[in-house]
Amino acid sequence: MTDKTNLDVESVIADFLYEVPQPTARDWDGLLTRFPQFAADIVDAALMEKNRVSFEAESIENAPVSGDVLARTTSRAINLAYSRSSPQLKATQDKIASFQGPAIRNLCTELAIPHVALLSGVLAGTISPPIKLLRRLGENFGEPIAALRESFSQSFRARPMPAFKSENGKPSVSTRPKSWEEAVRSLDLSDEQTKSLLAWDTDKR
Amino acid sequence: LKADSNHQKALGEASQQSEDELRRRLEVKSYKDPNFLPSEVLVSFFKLQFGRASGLLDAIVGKLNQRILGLVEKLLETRGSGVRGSAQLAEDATNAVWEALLKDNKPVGRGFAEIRFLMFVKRRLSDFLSTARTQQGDAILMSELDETDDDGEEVPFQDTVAGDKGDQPENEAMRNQLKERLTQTMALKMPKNEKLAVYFRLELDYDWQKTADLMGCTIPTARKYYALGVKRLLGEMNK
Repeated sequence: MTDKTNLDVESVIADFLYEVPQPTARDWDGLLTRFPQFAADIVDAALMEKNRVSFEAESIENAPVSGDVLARTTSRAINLAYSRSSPQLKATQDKIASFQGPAIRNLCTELAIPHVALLSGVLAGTISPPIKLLRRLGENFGEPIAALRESFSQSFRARPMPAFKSENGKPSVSTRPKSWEEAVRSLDLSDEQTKSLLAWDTDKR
Repeated sequence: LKADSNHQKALGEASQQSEDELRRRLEVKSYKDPNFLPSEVLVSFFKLQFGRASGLLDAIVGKLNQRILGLVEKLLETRGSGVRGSAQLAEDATNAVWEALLKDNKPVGRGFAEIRFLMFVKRRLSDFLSTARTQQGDAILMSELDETDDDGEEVPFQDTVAGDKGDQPENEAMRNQLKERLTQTMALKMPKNEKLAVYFRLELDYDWQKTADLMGCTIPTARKYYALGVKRLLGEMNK
């Protein structure tokens, strides 16, 4: 079985599920008629789809997997995960990095954010973005929200540490991004703007 | 490939939750629980390296690996339990599935890893066993890969020549019970040809000619696999 064959049948089934999100037996019958050469895979997909959300999950979650093998394979998988870079995460990070200077002002206008410092802080990872802003950024950038969140998180952890020059007191470095509320309240905005922006953290849409 | 809207929805919802909430959801074991995190979502998180900075990625990979290994062990067991070295085989096969995931650079939401997790693992396991067979010429591996037992089991002659109605379960209630059982156990536990014969006959009501054509065999052979499949389902029901 070659990779090309795998991709062909999987593309056929993926496209079918896109067109018919909740297929009936008749829909599967139609697909089998069109692609009899993929009968075995189509039947597998039909059975999986019928049981919908990961029908395998319950039995697999409770399967008595070998302890040693589980430990070894998990360790290896985690090492693999950290040894590679994600092309899509990199693309998201590049897109975020491209918003500087005038570009960020334009983005503020598009997203209806009244203060550039707020958006700059979010993109640099120093301000925790509210749900509504995450959604808008995801739509605007065309990137998954998970990739945006991870990019912000990595930016925050990679930020340069401020120099401590005072002769009195102890140095302090924040270990968490500033909350949206804290960031909004620290700006000299009108009551109406403040109230409106704070609502972004609870807005469903 | 186009995006799977169900997957996109589940991924979008999970992506907006706090890490603490996601950690809690990783512990949910029943897929019937609305908080259960589908494996496809975990695959997407893995591909995006979501939670790398915070360490959540370790928990995501750990959970995904538990499911992959569980699935691999179950599939290997189905294809020949008690095989010598099967623990090592499961380990190697699980590692091969991860390698395949790493090589998949398609955007999240579009690509073979997102279609259905079980299908992805099954196909990679099949690829792995096929490669292992070619490289090692190992008779044990060959028996594991072999899904089509071409006349491997004896079936009474009359079972292979009965009329179209003769091989149907006695009544509609039994037929419905079998259909239900079919969806719960078939994809993992049933050999390919039995599964095809039973699905085509019970679920799609195909006649024997169409069933045999799609299976690429003769009508008597299709009947034989159907009889074996029904016998297996009845065995499951009586457990």
